[in-house]
Amino acid sequence: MQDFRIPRRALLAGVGTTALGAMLRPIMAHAQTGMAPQRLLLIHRPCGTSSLANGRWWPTGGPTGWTPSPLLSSFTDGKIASLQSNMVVLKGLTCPRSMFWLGDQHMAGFLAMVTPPVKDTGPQSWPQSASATPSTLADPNSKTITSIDQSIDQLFLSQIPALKGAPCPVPSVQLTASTESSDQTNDWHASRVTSYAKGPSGGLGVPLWPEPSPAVAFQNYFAAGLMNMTPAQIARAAAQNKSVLDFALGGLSSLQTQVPASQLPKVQAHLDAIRQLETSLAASATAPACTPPMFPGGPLSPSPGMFSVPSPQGGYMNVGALDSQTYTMWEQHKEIIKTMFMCDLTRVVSFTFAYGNSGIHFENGVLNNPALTGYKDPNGNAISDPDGHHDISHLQGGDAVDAQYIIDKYYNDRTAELLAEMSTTPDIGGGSLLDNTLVVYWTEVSDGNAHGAVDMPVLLFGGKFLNLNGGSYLQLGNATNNAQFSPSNKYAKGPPPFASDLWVTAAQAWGYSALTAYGDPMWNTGPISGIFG
Amino acid sequence: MKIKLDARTLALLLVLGGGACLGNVGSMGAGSSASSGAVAGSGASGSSASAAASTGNGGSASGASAADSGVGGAPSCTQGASFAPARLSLITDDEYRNVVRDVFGVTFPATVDVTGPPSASGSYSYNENAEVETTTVQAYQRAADQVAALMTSIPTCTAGVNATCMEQYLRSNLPLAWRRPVTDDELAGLMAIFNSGAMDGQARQIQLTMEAALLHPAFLYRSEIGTNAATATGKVQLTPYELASAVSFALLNSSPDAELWVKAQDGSITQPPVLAAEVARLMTLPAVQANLMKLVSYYLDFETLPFVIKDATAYPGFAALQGTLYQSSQMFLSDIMWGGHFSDLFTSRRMYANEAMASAYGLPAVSGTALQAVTTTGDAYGAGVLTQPALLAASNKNAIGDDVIHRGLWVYYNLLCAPTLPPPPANASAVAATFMGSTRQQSLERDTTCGAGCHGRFDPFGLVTLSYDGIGRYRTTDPTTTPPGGPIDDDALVPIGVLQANPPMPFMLTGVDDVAQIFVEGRQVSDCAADNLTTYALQHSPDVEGSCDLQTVKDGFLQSGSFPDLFTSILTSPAFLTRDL
Repeated sequence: MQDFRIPRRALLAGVGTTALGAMLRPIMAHAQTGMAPQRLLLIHRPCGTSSLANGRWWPTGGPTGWTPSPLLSSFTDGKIASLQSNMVVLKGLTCPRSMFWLGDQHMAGFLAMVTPPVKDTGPQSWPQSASATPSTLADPNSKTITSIDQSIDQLFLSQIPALKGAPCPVPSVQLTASTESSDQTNDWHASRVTSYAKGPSGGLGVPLWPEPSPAVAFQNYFAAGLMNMTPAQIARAAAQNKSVLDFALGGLSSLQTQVPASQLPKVQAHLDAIRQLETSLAASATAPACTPPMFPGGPLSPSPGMFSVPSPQGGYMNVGALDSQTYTMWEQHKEIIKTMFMCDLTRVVSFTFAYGNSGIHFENGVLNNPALTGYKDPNGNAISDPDGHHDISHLQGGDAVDAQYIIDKYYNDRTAELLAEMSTTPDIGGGSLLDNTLVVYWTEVSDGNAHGAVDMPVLLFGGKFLNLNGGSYLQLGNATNNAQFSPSNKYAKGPPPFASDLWVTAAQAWGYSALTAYGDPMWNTGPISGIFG
Repeated sequence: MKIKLDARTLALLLVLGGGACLGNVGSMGAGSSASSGAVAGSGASGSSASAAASTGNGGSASGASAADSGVGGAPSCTQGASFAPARLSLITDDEYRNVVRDVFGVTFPATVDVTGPPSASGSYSYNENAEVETTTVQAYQRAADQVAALMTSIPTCTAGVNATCMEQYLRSNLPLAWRRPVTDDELAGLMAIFNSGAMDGQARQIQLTMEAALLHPAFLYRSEIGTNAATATGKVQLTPYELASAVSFALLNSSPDAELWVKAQDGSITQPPVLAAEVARLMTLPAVQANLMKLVSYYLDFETLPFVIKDATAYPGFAALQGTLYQSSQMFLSDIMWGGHFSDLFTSRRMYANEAMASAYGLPAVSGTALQAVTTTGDAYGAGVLTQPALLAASNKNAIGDDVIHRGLWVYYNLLCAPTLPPPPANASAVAATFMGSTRQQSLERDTTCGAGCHGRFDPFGLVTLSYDGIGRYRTTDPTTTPPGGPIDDDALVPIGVLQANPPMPFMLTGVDDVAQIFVEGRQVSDCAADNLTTYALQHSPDVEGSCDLQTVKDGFLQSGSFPDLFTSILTSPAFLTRDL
């Protein structure tokens, strides 16, 4: 299998080896314009939810002033966060895919939500990855489906200048709190990867595998000595950088006297650009150091979790307490993401808690963590099912549904922790980190057991720069149509609006007006009103 | 002079009701040369290519320049004019990579951008009019950091990096990177920067020094301003260093090599015999030949082929053959560039194919995966580049079927340098969607609907390729007729003003082979090729200045048909040694 990964170390070579020089640039990026950065953060949690029909997910009430559900209370009840006025709840959004198409439904959900939805050409509509064979192509549960192009975060990054920053040293970041999500023993990436780069020659998207290890991420982004600088070191670095720019200024000033009049604007523009940087450099010389997060004992190097293995009875089974460290992985990635944003090292992050067929064991692993107590279902019971998350999502009955509720609550709480911290962290250019970040919190299927593609439980946060209508509960589409496409009707193609419409809506709010459709026209009905002011 | 009375002419007579004059097909345009002709200001329509280059952050030349003399009119030119204005041109990212490779021994990673991602279209671009912004400076800073990080050793520093050996290194290497001598003051400035990093270690010292060296305008700009451009009038002579750089960027896409640099240092490069000898020497270098091949490949749009996407259902197997087709096109081109005549471009029946390609395209059978030369016979693949599968696939932009529009536009702009046309109206797609019938019927309806000066000017050059499907496979029946499988009709009428003729007249084309014949009999296509390749070599459209020396270059190319001679004549022309103010 060809490895299409972009070598992150290569991308960051200039950061990791050039501590003093690179350190000042992120801060310079803010200072040069006096404007706050604009960011995109996509957070994925796996396996949908079984709580859509039982009142545990959807709020009650109207478009404003709604009453949060038990699961949404993570973001609103003040125990972790009070973000109701900073969030938009979407109901009635459809994942743009057909349930008739062959291929793993979780993978299909990943692809349809964040990559260009494809044309319905029958059961074999999904593009196939490199390991596809005639038999996998005809397999209803095929793992070889893939993205037809780059994912939405990468498209936005390429087309929305504000997301590039000055540009930022790291164009985009992909992280995960599950080692299983970075299992590259085959190219079954579609439910592990949430970001795709544009393919060579415009072909299929190239998976950008998420990094599970905080230690590796830390090393990549905060290489030794990069950020822990004393005020004296900062001042010296600023002076050195200024001398470099002064040297270029000298050359340009000399050129000004030599070139014909026709070339003077070119020289002047160059001079202006450097002077602008010098001004920002002067400001950054006294700026506080951008400090990397501190982790007791250092950043975690998680052991690979145990993956699904072939079962003697056929199919696959999960083995062992997979990713028992997932909570700590998340805690450290959370700090890494915050720091990346605070220091403007990147403006585009996609994070996935776990693989779409997640085998993470909550009872035996995650929830044994002493930091996590009180995870009970609405009836006051703790999780009691010994299976992994994906298996739980397909179990029926009260206990299984309650178990999934607990897992959903866990993921909502973790996300709420990050968002709450972002909401109280001032941004250099004004506002909070959350104000200046459009956060999309999503999952690949709606009803986990049915692999539902309608009523996708998607939440939006932050995005003040786009005038996100915080506090809104938007019930989209035609209510009658929505009723016809109940989550249990697994073979339905859902009604509009589609996730692709959501991306077009965001693009237009962002000034990327050229994006009038995302993916095949059949999955586009135009911008969704009410999301942005 | 010869009069060609063939099917085309007979058809034309019918079209014109027998009353039209027959054009002189054998000598399109007026006369053979204007090198000593009238001086009539700048050319009549010579600015469209430079207009493309003057917008945004640079230019993109894909053959869209206008004919230097206006179609069918007498060429006009400016006696003594240069090929280009006095200017500073920001180096391209490719040039950046090449210079740091050749001067500092650093291979800049392909996965890391200098200022932006590589082209995803295969079009040739340059920075003649680009301006630097703050983000550009920061991108150059990061690129310089990258170069510094990859400098694993400083050759003059055998026992650790210190000021003495670093200064030696800069003295010996920096002039080549800057393409001019480095003054003592400049060197002192760099060493002060180097020394300012002493407390932070050698890596930081090298980083700062390389940032300063590579952010300096002497590195970032190609300078063609002579010595007194700020006060002079008329034109300036390039300095020896500027001339050597202009030659090396044209031929190597990089800094001068050592021998050329010596001629710049002693000033002898400005002597025509020395310049000619250096150009001749350089033309023998494999790196130069590869670079020039690339330029011609850009001109012919072969470089767009790797970016073409075809529908896998409509054309199964195309993606797997795409690399082979590109390689085949390069071998076809190489034969003509280094051992053939320009006219072979349109008459050659030699193709390169392996077993898979030969099978897919119905070419004479070969076996194995290696590309081998085959010679076609019969009606198929007999018009050189016009019937090269790579070109037919690349110029056919429709992923699922025929595309006479873009095939026609490719000929219209790339080969004919015909006048620039306005963009289609906003409702063009909606109107086109109402057209029914075969590909040919839709084209004719399109021509009728949009009227004169529109599709009728270029669609005919696409219609003549109807014997080749969307990926360039020869066919004898038209799958788009009703019922499918009707005979191919690849006749097409070209209106007045596209193909040069004296007097102006419409042309009836009877298939792609007929078009090829017209192209080799006239000079319009040869002149257009010379125009485009001069633009690539200069990174500027010489039509702006309209130098009569350009006409000399074109005349020479028409006579010799030799690509190496064409580049040689551009670089040794008097108009290359100066720049207009």
